[in-house]
Amino acid sequence: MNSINHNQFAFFKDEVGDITLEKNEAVSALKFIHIKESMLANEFYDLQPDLDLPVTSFDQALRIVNLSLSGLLPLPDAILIDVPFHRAEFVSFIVSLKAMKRCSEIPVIYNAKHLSIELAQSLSQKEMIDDVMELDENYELIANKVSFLKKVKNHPPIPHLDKELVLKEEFNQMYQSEYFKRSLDIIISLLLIVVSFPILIIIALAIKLDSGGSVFYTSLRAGCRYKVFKLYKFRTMCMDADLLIDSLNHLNQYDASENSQAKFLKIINDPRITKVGKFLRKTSLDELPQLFNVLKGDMSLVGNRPLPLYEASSLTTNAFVPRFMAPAGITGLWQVTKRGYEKMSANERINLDILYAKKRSFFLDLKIMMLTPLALFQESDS
Amino acid sequence: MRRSILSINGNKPFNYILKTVLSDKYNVFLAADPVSGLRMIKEQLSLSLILIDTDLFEQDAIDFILHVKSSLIHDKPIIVLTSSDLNLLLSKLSRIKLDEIFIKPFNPVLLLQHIDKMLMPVSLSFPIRP
Repeated sequence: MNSINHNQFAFFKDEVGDITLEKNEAVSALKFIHIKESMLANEFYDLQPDLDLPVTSFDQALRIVNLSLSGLLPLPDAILIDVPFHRAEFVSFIVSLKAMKRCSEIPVIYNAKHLSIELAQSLSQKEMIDDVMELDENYELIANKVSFLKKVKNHPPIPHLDKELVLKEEFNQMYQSEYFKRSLDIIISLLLIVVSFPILIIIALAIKLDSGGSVFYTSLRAGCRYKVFKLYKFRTMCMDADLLIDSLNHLNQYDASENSQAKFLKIINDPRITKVGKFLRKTSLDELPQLFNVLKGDMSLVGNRPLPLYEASSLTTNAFVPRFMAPAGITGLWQVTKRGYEKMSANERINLDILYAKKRSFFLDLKIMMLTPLALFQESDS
Repeated sequence: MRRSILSINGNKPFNYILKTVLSDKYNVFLAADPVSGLRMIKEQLSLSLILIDTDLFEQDAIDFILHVKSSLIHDKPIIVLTSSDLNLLLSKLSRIKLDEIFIKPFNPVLLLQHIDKMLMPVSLSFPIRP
């Protein structure tokens, strides 16, 4: 056997029935026309004599391509050009090559030592070359490149360069209902803010009298698609409670060693909670300022819990990241499913979030809103 | 002028969150796989950086990285996102110099800060005098 070519290679593969052929074996069968200044052996040629067809002119290269098209030789997998750049000769060669049937898909790679970056980019934009690289690189790197370029050339063209690209299509139906959901959020949150305004004032006064300091607590949260925003709540803990987290890790309900990659913090009978804060948490009135987040568009009435950044960053795994496709919400599937239970594993919570992100609809939101008052007066103060 | 970033990620939600986090400062183009990613690079030569996730199309992603980093035309800084075996990945990419690798899970906000740093114009080490 003089040389391995694509056809022989495919036949061999069929006869043996080996369909799990290693990629590198396939790559090693790539065959190149190598246009160079002289026929003197170089390192690359010595390494792969069977796979490299050296020629010294563009005309010779075209003759080999013609022989390939007539079936006397296998069609080359790539054309490597390692001669000084002469525009007229090169353009004439490329025009002839592209005019030949089946040849427009053959990658053309020029040696970097003969072209400036500007010229290389200009030729690439005119689709006259596919790449420019150091052809003195090892054979495997060139073969990998050619294999990948062939795949790209056979790939159907992208209709147009859309920033959102085709990925948007899958969620298109959701987008259509987003306007309805957003309108509902604005109307209901405005209504609730007006109705609960006296309560908001009373709570603010109670917090001031109980523990002084600021009435609201804000923290950065990751919402829909990881949009980071400031979440508003009535303050239920002593001032600077966040600074005490490290000293309370031993009371965390979610064991860090639990079989979960996620890191949640939930402390039963948290000593940082104030007297008024305890009442607000029991009645969930501390969540009322989130109506302003809903009005601003940071959140929705129904959605997944907006996570503090330290929790959210632990969920950027392939399995958990879909939970961020749903909006952040004041109430959600997790809250109405198991709000009364003290123990819910981190994985259970994330799975409920993912379930909501995938199944969310107007009717599911309605159901969650109707179940929320039942879950509101919880026993847990954590 | 805002710079442009291409994010190549087979995990759609992942691509969406990267777009959300990076869009405040950069134009973000999304590609669902390395092959479409390369087609986009050809159309958008002014890209400043590429983010590529190796998890879903590992071999294509490796070929893509090798191609881009050995190319005079397309060479750009690349940040690799992965949850696969780091040593194995590094051995497959040993022939080129990688710019950065982020192992999942990671904080996307830190990724943004890192990109800011990478794309920050190199400041002159001496004052310009009139």
